Amino acid sequence: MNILSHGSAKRSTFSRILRNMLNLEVIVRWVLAIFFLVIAIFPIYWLFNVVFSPPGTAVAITPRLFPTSFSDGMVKIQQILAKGPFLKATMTSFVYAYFQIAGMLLVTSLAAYEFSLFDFPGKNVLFTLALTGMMVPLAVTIIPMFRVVVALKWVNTMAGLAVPGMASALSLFIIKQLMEDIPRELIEAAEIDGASHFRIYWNIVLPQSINALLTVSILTFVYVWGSFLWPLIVSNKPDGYTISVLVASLSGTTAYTPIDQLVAAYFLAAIPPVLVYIFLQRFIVDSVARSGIKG
Amino acid sequence: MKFLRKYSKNYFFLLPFFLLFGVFFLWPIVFGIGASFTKWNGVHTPSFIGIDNYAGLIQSPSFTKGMHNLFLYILIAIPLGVFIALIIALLVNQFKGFWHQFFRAAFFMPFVIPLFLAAAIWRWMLTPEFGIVNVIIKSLGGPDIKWLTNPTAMLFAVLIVDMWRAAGFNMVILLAGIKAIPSEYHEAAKVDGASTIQQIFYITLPLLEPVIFLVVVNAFISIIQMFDVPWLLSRADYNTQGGPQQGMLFPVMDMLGTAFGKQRYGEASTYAVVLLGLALLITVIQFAIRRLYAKR
Amino acid sequence: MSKKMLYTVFAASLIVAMILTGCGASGTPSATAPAVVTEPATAPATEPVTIEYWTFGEFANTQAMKDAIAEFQAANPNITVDVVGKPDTEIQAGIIAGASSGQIPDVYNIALNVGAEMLKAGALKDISAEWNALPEDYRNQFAPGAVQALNQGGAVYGIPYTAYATVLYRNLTVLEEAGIDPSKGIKDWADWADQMSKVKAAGYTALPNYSVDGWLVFHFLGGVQGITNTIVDGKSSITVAQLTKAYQFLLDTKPFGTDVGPFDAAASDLFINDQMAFYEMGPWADTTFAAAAETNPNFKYDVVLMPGEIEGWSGGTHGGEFFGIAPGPNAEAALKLAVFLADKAQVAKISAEFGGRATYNDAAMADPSLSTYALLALTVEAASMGLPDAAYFQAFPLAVRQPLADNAAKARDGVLTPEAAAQAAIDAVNAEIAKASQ
Repeated sequence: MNILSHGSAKRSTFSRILRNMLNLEVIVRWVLAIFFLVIAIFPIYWLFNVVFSPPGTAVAITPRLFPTSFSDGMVKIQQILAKGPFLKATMTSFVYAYFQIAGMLLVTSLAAYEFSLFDFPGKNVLFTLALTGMMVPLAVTIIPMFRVVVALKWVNTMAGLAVPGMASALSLFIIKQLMEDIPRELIEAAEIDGASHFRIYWNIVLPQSINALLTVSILTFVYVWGSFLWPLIVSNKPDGYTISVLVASLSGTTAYTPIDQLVAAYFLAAIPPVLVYIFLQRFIVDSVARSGIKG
Repeated sequence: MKFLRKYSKNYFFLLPFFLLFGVFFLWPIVFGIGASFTKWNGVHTPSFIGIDNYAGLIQSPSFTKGMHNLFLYILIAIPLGVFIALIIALLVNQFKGFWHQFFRAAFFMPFVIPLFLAAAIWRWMLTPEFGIVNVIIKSLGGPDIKWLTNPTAMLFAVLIVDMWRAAGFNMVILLAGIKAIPSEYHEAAKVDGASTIQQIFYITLPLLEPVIFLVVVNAFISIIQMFDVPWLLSRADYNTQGGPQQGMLFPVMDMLGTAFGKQRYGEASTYAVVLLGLALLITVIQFAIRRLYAKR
Repeated sequence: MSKKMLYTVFAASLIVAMILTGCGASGTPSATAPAVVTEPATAPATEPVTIEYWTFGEFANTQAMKDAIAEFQAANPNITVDVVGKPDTEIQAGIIAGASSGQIPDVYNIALNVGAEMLKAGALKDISAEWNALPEDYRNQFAPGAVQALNQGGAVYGIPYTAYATVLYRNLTVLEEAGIDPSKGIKDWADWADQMSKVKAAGYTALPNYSVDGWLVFHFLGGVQGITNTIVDGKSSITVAQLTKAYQFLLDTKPFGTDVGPFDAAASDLFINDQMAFYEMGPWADTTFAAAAETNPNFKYDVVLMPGEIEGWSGGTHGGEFFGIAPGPNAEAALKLAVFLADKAQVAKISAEFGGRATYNDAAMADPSLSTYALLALTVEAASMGLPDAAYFQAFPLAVRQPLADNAAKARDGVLTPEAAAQAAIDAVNAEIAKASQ
């Protein structure tokens, strides 16, 4: 390429950009996108600003467009860390999420394996029965569920927290839908080769379902992290509080938590899921998308 | 016996799921249905009273208010929610490469924020007169909306928080559906001179219909179960739920108040049965409608 | 890591986890025997026993409480006390949720106004035998009204502890800006409304929105002349006329105030930032304001009695908390702890640590160490007027707060006239009472 054509290449790129900028469609697209972006991100940004500003500045009555003091924010965070077992509660929430996800994956993938690839008497009845699980809110079954947990002596234990949620109908549904895509020839070939039922599940079907497994893991993680009602009843000692219950207890009207520290508490509670999301966001959004359309 | 041998491995693998499901879900439901016919304060032995609870429930003003709020909310939230998610999905689809990924990730982010956090933050932002939302509205010339005390506005407050969270999630699903449409259709349309808008209406939307249907069904079910957002937004406790004039009262909240606040578990179980029936009914109706529509 | 290894690690960790959870790995294992509703023989006094004590979070964290527990355990080497601090709503929720399965704490602090609920849940033991066996001057140190409330037809359900009464906080800066002389005080509701209009005219806001919660409505009901109780003979003794007056006052003062409820952060923001003149609440709000005044010397406020409808009558609501003992094998040890903590020495110490928190222990309140706390004296005076926050140990369920608030909101928004709203409220309250006593 000689000097002359290089120049003209630059000119045409420039004029392309210029033309794009004046193109109505592009403008509309960007304006709308920025509008929605602000709405989506602003509440977190606002929380960040409230935390990182001098103590005593009003929380609700002054608009917070910028953070103003990094050090003040750190002080507030330190104060609230001293007020409650934050680290412990965060750990508890993580462990709770881990166990519920692990158990749920095992239990639902085994069942989804059967429902998606095999036929047996009562298959439809059982599946429809499982589907009703999606239609019932937790609050409906919570009292009898608690009585069962007490009878099992699982109050204030991780088992009591995590086990009841493992039979997730929604996860079963999603995994089953995606497992159905696995080519039957693969299964039949393995059966001919003499592979055991479990082998087929473990070596063939599971690896192929990784998208579904990821999706339901993420959905469960978000749900567990925000879940509040169940941990409140089952884990009622401050030692075993999850982060959701801890933050809720700090924000009660007679809890004596200064508003500045309360905001710092919220901020701390928001960090783990946001961090997890930022790092894994590619996987998360992709797998939700891929599972979604199969549903 | 041969029958059992043939299928035993299948049932064996189903066992863990259905064991847990039976103990922690089916049994509580059966128990709840049974309890709905009793008068029971949770401690002493229940006493059987037939359908008195159901009669009482229908006459209860909180039940009426809760159901009224629920239906109103369904009427507004589902069309609006799907509409907004659709718009955002179509919008994000117009971007390519980095910006596509960026916007997709950014719009999904509100979904991972724990609910109790979202409710608290929005409550602060929706403070009448002084909260940032009203400050912005007033600077644009609008009225000071009483998000937390006017019953109509309260439902919209719930809507805002709910949609803020759910739009991103629904958008991702719709977006995947959009991308699944083979690009030949769009290219052919472009050759024929169709504008972007026309392409959306004549190609994208019709082919997206099954995905939209699923988003709608899912929305119905989760709205009937709606609890966390209005509970936290109205600062409910076991004695008072729903805020001034019960503007944010939803059935599940009332149920919890009856159970833990008034200690009338029999009545609370009745609520549970009613809600379960409602959810089943709506789902069945929706699938039936779809099948009829598809046959045409 | 290959996929196979990943799955194996995953499955193995799951199995390990299951085994661990079987041993109750998370949280402190509960060493107390679950309290049961029927009463087996109490354990002999010298056997080691651990009791669980639920109290308010802020109390559990005080030096006074820690010292008290240490002292008690030293004097009773066979008793170990497990102190759990929780917000009061969660104490109630936890006991109700656990009552149906016997999972309740051995001794706990809870509000008098949920005493009836606790009794219904089977979480309160009748300690009349032990109470009457206590020395007379121990029993006489408590306010007679509180003792009476806990005595239901001969059965004694607890020992009185802390108390509260709501008072009025005034932002002096705002009042001065509005041309009001704070030293003149507030005569009655008419005077108060007048002051509020002056505040509004000066460009400030007068008062938060008290129609958002039934308990708040009680504050204003308390200001109605002549009202002293809430229930008589199984029906609400609040008359429609009295409630109408309260609703009318809220409606009349609506233009001068803001829509923000007093429980919202925004309300205390407004008060602390010299935007709002009045804030009526219990003495616990003082902690926040005192802290704010420390960081911001320009913020000046004082505390007075909430004005009533007529001069010489003050409004507000009052109530208190007590020690409840759960039935069960640990009841004897639990009662010992309660008797120790409710005694005037301990009560005075805790009260001092909170800047003069009012209690039902008259002897402790008379202690010279507390004489410097002005808020304490004011609270005690306020408690002698106004409205008790419930009918203790009678079927006056807290659920009545819902219709009281709903109709207050309707009156305030003009959906109903104050009188119609009051009538609807009283009807709903009586319906709730009837249902609860079935």
